[in-house]
Amino acid sequence: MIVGLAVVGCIGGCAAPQYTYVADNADNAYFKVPPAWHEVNENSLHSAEGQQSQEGTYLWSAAYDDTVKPSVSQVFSATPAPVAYASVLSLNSSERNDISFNSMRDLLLPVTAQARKTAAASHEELNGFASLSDQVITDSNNNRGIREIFDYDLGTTLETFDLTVLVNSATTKLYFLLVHCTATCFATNYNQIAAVVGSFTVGGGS
Amino acid sequence: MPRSRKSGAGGPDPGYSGPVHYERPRDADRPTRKPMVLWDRVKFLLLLVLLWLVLVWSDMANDPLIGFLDAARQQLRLAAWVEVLIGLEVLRQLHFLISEHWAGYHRFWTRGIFGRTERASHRMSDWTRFRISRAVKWLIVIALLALVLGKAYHTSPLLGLFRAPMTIIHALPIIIYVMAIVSLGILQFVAIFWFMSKGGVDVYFPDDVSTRFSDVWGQDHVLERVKENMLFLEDPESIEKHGGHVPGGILLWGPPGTGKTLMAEAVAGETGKPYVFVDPGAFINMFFGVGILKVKSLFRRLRRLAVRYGGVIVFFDEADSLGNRGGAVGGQPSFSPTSLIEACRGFCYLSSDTQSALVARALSAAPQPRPPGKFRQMIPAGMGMGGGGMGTLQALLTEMSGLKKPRGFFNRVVRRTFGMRPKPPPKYRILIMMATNMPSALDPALLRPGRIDRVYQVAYPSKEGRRRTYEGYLNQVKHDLTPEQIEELATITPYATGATIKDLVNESLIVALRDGRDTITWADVLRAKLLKSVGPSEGVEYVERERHAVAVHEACHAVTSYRVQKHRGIDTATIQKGGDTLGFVQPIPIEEQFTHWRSEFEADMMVSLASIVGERMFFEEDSSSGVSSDLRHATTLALAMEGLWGMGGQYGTYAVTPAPHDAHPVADGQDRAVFETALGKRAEAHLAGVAERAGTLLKENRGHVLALAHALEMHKTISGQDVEAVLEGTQGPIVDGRPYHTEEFAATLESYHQQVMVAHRARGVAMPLPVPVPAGQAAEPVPAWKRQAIEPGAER
Repeated sequence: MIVGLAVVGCIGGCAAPQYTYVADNADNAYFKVPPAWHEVNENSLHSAEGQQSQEGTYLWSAAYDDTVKPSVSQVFSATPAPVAYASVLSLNSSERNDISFNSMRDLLLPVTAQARKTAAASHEELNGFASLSDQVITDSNNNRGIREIFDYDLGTTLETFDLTVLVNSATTKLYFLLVHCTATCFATNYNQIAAVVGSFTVGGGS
Repeated sequence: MPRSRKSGAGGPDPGYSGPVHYERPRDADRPTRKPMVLWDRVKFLLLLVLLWLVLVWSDMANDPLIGFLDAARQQLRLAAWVEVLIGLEVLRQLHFLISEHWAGYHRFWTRGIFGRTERASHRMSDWTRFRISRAVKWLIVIALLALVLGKAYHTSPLLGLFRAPMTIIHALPIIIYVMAIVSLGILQFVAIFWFMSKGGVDVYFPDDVSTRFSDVWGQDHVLERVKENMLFLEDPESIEKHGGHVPGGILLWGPPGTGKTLMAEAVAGETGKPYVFVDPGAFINMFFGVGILKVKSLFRRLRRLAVRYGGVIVFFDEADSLGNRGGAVGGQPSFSPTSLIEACRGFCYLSSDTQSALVARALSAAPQPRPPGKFRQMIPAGMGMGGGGMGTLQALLTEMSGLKKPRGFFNRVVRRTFGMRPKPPPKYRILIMMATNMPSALDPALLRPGRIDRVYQVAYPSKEGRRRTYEGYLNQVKHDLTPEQIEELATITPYATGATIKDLVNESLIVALRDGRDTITWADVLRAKLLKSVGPSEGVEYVERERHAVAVHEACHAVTSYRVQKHRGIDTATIQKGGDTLGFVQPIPIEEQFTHWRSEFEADMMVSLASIVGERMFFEEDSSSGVSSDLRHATTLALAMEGLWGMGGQYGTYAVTPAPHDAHPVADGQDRAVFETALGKRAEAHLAGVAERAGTLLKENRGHVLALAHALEMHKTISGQDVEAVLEGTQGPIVDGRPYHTEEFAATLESYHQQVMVAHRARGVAMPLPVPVPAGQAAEPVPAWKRQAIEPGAER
């Protein structure tokens, strides 16, 4: 009994969890963020993103911000502290036919040349694009997708984005995780950000 | 601190050095708490730790990223309630540990804290304490439910509690769907059982039945008692205001046809209350449990009727169908105190100790099992169909005198919900009447006062009762019988019941109608009576010498009976073959008597032995096998007189020694060595003495025997009055006895007998025997083939 109590005491006394574990058990999407990051209000996030995006219907979303007072505005604009935003969308048959690696790259911001050209034609103020990394991913659960790291000049500061997009093997669901902050911030917190992006897992839960 | 006491008042002897037993101290004597074993100390703690580990494992299973340590740390924050419980359990165990070692601490808690609480709680009444504890339990259950729902809905416990109904409403279609499927399965059985639990019970309301007490004849004494019960039911106050209670049950028992059901029908006609008739087959069921349902449904109905109409009468016809818990399979009568009392009225003037001993012995005489044999009793398998058994009788017993629970939903549920005591059930005034002809087959528990308060025997009607019954039924038809003839009819039909009397009157009417008349005469009644007692002829003709032998056999019985049986008369004498008899002489008691005497039994033995003695006398020491039943009767009587009734050489009775179950000790011939015993030898000597007297009598009446034999050969069946006519030389209803008293005809009869003897000695030789016809008496029409034999010159 005493040993048991000691174990419990040690676990409790040593520390809080090393990470905050974020999970969408229904769609089997998981990632972890440092404990200092705080969750953005779920309802605000949902109202900001709406029911339907161009790519599909939102099933689940969560956002974490490395500030004391997380706000949804920091998710969708330039921010000096890292922000992680993940979502799961369901794809209907036409969306399933339209999905491609390029469409995944252009999921949130125009990344491909064609998309950027179209954006420029529609007078969107998106300048200073620079691609830092471009990878195609296939994980152990047969999910496929891309990971793009790129910069954009959002007017006042240069923002770095780390976008991971995956579709499941049946192409019925699309998962993405976006981590972004200013280029300086990104460089400073690269290890933390890499751990967050690296933890992004689709499938494998019970 | 004394740990225990030595056993015994003074402990072991000072010199004793062996092992000593120390008495285990009582909890009240112990200064500290009794030490707990390790398992009891840790079991709840282990359980809670296990629960916590399950929660950690659940976290790890739900998230592939999370490791054990992080899951454990996470659960330390999330599953705080488990930790609180663990803490409380640790605290409890610490409390126990201290109590086990520190007397002062233990005393403080047991006497100071808990003792005070206990005393305070006992100041409240038990009922209040029960209600408070029930309320507290409900609050705890609701709180726990709220916690679980709050957790499930990820909201506060209070909101969780309010959201639960909404979830249930949303889930209602699926709940209804599942319940419908389940109900469908159950409903099939419910429907089957419901349909099967109906039927066999008929309710009659006043004026539905037209039978009245005036229609019941010959059972006045029972009728008066039944009326009395009915009056109490109609006006219960008349007995209850004096501190008594209304008798709740009547059993009418007696032979079939004595008017039990008619009496119940008359009760239905006379009463102002509803009358419920329960069919004897109502409790014969295919499935187990249906009988119980029927009983419960019946009594629910009875209570409803009793409350609504102020009383109800229920009649169970053939109550023996309800069965007997201790009875043998197949309705064999069981040995019960009832049968003991019924058998011997002397029982009532024994001392109470002796009565108890006899009842105990009667009850312990359990039925002996059948010896294992080739043809064992088959027990039906399958659905277990059966009669009053299978719990039906027990259900009936419970309903008749079991606990009466409060009635009505409001009374039982709503009042109790508000903490009010339910009102006691009303007095159900139910008069239970039962009828049976096998009272010994009824369960003794059914007959105890409180269930069946009064047991009435509906016996064979007395002579006066029979006379009134005859009058009653004869008044419904046209007849020319005088009161004297009706009186005589009542005399010569001693065991007639209402049913047989009704049947005899009806048969007499048929005889009259067959003759083209609609008025019944005395002769019609006698012919109907003969037809009923002898039955229709089988149409079998005896060979002449055999006919004469049978006639002599029966004539010996009849003459002896006429001469020595002063307590009996002759009803009928016949040589008509029927069933398993070649002929018989039917006696009737002249008057109703309830004791029997040695002289009467000896006369009976003489009549029985007259057949063998007569056959030997008339047939040169030859005798037939037709005397077997006569010998059995005579031997039974002789053994009973010697062994049971003190009518022989000793006073002691064999009735006190165990006899085979359900058998007369001496009648069934199971004891083949009986004639080697002193009893057997005495009985044989008794029989020999009686046979000798019978022989002397028959020698003196040789002529009368031949005369009566002739009358029987002529007429096949004659009445007792004809027997008297032949023996006294008078005119009888059928036979003219006067010619038999002439010397010539007596000589003719003797000569005829000698011819028969010649034929008897030369068996197999065709020897036609003419039957002499007395002067002035018409012979029966002789068939052509017989005429040819009688008159050699007759036409072929």
